[in-house]
Amino acid sequence: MSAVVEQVTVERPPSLVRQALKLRRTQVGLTIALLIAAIAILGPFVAPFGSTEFVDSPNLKSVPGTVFGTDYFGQDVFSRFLFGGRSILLLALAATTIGIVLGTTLGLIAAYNRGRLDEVIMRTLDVILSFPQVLLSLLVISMFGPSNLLIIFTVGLSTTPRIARIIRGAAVPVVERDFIAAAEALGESRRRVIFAEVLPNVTSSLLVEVNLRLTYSIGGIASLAFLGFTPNPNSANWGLMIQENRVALTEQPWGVVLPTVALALLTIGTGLIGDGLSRVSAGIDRGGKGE
Amino acid sequence: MKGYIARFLVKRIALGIATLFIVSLLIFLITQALPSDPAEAMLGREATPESLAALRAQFGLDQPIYQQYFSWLGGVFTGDLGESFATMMPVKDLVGPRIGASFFLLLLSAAGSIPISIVIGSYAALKRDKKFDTTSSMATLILAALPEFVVGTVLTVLFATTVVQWLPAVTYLAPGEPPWSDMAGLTLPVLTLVISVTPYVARVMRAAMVEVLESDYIEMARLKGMDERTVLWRHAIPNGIGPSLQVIALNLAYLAGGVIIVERLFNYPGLGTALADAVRSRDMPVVQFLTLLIATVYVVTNLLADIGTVLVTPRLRTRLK
Amino acid sequence: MEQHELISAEFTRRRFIKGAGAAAVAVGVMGTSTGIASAAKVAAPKKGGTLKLGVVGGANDVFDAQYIVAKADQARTLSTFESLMTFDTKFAPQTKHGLAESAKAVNPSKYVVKIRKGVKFHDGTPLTSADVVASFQRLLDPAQKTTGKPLRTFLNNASVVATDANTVEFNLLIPNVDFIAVLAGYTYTIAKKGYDGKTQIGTSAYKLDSYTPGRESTHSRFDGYWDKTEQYLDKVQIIDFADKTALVNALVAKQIDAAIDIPFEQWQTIKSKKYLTAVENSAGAWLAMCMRIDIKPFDDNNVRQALRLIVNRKQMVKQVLNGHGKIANDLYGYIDEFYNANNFPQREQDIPAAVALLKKSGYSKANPLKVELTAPDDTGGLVLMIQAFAEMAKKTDGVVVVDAKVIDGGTYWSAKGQYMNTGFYTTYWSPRAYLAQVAASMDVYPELKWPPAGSTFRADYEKAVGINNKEKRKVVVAKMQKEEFEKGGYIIPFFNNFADAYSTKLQGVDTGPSQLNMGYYGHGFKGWYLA
Repeated sequence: MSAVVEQVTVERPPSLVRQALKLRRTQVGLTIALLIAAIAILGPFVAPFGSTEFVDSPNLKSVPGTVFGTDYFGQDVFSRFLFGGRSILLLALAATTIGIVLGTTLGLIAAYNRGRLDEVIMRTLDVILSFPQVLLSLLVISMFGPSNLLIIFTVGLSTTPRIARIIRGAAVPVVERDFIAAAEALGESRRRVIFAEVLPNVTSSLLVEVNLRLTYSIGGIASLAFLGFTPNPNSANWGLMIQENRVALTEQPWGVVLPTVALALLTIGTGLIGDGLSRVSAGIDRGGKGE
Repeated sequence: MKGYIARFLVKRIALGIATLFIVSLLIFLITQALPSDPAEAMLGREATPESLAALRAQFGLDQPIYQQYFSWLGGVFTGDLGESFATMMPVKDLVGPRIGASFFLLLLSAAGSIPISIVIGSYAALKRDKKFDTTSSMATLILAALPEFVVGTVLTVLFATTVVQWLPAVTYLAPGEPPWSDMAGLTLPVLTLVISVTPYVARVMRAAMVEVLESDYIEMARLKGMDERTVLWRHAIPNGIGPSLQVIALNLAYLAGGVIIVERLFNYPGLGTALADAVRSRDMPVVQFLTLLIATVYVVTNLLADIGTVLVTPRLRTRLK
Repeated sequence: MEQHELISAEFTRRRFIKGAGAAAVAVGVMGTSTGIASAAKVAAPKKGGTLKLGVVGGANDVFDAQYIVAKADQARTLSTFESLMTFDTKFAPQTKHGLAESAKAVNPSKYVVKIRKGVKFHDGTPLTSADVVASFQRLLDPAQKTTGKPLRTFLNNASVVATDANTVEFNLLIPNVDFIAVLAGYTYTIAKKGYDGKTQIGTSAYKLDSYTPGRESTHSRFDGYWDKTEQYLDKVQIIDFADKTALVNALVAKQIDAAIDIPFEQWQTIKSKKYLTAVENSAGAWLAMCMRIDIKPFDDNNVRQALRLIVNRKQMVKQVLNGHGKIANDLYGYIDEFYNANNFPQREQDIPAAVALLKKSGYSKANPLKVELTAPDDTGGLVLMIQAFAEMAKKTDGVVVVDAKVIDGGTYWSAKGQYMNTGFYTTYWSPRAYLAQVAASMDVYPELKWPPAGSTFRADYEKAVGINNKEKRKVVVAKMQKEEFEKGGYIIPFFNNFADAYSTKLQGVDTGPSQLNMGYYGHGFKGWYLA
């Protein structure tokens, strides 16, 4: 019995990723995403100006020494762009991680226990889902003031229910399978059964979902920034950049164009990866069930 | 079988009501924790002890919290939503027209995006990995990657202000006029929302259809010699819409509550801006009612989607037993 | 002064007007305005038409004769109600456009106002002194939601007396030579006796037809108006916009005729359209950072003066206002004839001097001065100002560290908010004469807890408001300004301009100097017509 367990645990996830990587769209997606990530990570080191340094009057299209002119506040658009990816990527990663960890744990517990605990968990998550998102952000931020932690928390919390639903859905059939009963019979602890036996068998669903939620978190954080919710008002951040420079769009488009293109590319990149993963996992799931 | 469906319905409705009750309680508690109370927020620097006391008495803030909550809840059941703190108008009159406006916007956007996305998604699934599929999946990916405010701003610049001036830049609804009184002004907001929502639904529809088209019973249907069109319309699409309904419902619920960005861009008098304003001025009766309303929309669309999924999907109809 | 580009900052989405009508402007001659207005051909005024005026506002709008929070509220109050006096283009009080026929000082504590004859309220009843008394009593009632707070320092219910049907006597508790200017405050309007803040019946040229909060109000010509010579429009529609970009888009797409408070980012766009006109006004409104002199570390004058020396004012005007304002010298009252009575030289950025001052108080790179500076998220200019200040403080190389924080407006301005309750925060004031501003800043909105203990400042103020002779008053004012310049708690980097834009179809807008948008909104759209 335990041989079956081993086989299932070890082999599935890597083969999924490996298979996905053979797909053209996954390769393109990965390239794009890595490129944007590289800009975000390395940008601050090569930026010609500081992120909050005054360069010239606001909204000038061409300023000697700058590539894309100045922004709404007279700062260098290009430097702000180079600085602006890091925070949004980190925030999105952190928020997604929270959502994934919480959502997966809750989904697995619900699926494994079923019955009343399942009901309680899923209905609680329904409450969170039905709570208007904008309102949640507005309220939390009015209450505590905008801070990175709160943004991570609100975005993470809002992704949790969706992930929990997906994972629960994927885990329910797994829980009913023989090897789980076998593991229980061998006296493995509940926690071990859930995380060592059930979890590895929902990784394909999880991987696809991670990708989707990361995309969603990026959008969510950019929108929050667009609505003005950022801890430091003048911090360089792609979402905030769009909001700040939007008014001058017809006069100085670069401040909006650069971050928009970067965010769009990032979303497209992660979207393509997700596409690849889900296409492959759909195949695996069908094959794996081996009816 | 009917008994099962009825029991399922009753349970879901009961759960929905419980959810709404908890949401209303939560929102009430959270608003209590905000750093300034409505009287302080409203009077700001003009506050005097006398005017604060007068306003608190007027708003009923001098009563115990549980009493405030239950008198509000009682009001909801009897249709008395109270008076807005900020405008001194009955909440019903303030929010009523905005509900209609938001609903109409939602209806038009749904009417525009759902058929388009179903057609695109199904066709792409049918032509899997062919040119239409790859092109449409790239196009939907790119469109999904553009935030609403970018789509809306670009549309405005193209059609209303800078390139050509064919369409109104903002919606103008005279108070008392129905939302369809300015169809020209609705064009850009609806277009923005359709462009923002369609890609998601189309992608989900495609995925669902791919799965359905590869399933055994479609294979069976084909083997039985049914023609492709019958297979598609009679068997594949109904089964494919099922899973997509959830996503469509989520998107509709989002449209109902969260279109604040589109409302701001086009000055559309909907619920999103009203909610943001109400939070800012701590206009509790409005905040509470709108939250409840948006949560209700969510719960109801979700419920309908669940029921719809069960009814539409032939496989699930039988599984419910 | 550059005349063709305007402020980049969005000032005032809401709440800009602080105590707006508050003890407003007095005699002064310095206001400037650049009406870059209409090269418009003057056509004969035409009757008729509906004016569509766009303004940033929302469901929090207030419609009240005597309480104003945002520009939308201002537009509506000014279109429905009138004050006893108004200001001319030199910021001196006048009876033109006002409900007073005359206002005279018997002595610095006693004023007599004669009410204009033949004035009717929108419901047809005639205006009498009883309405004036009732309106002031509402302003003086601390339990009412009004901007009457500043009046309560020198008036009480007993001080406003109707001596006959057309005469009102004001007996001030303390002398005030600027009182006639106070009567021109635009939130000190006259409503009908029994006014409850809900039914808007005023005396203006356009009466209210309907009002939908957060959406619009419509006003139509009042046929019983006392001055029919300048009533050209049939209707006026004041339309709310949640977003300033949407406001400008609507103007550019010809959906509205005028836009109040246009963002300067869009200036070029508007200018490039032949069918639009833009006007800029610089009347001496100001933004400031406030240091409370009773809260550590700002109780130390070395700290206050050092922080003032950190500001590069020219750069502030350039970055925050996109060049559209004038540098200031930590002194207010720009429109006052005694603005900077001592002729102090312009204060420049001087980082070594600032660091030296701080060193005296024990601050250094090893023991830096760390301060938190807050601004409300609803007032664009303030947000930019604190960011610019934080950036300038970096020049001290770590001796001064500024944590610039943006706070939710609903919290910031509330009675327990950052405003007036913390050591270092921001504020916004509309133009006001010097002594009127002293009264407002010292007692009504004690932002700094000024003056310090042992100072003669208050005594000097009380002396100054009682001196009729200008030269003698100037001596006292100069002494007060010296104390503020050397020890005060305001950091005032600049006086900002504001701008409006409108269709060339709209004519007759007076673009002369004015404290309010669109030339005081034409005192209720008087003289405006659609060609």
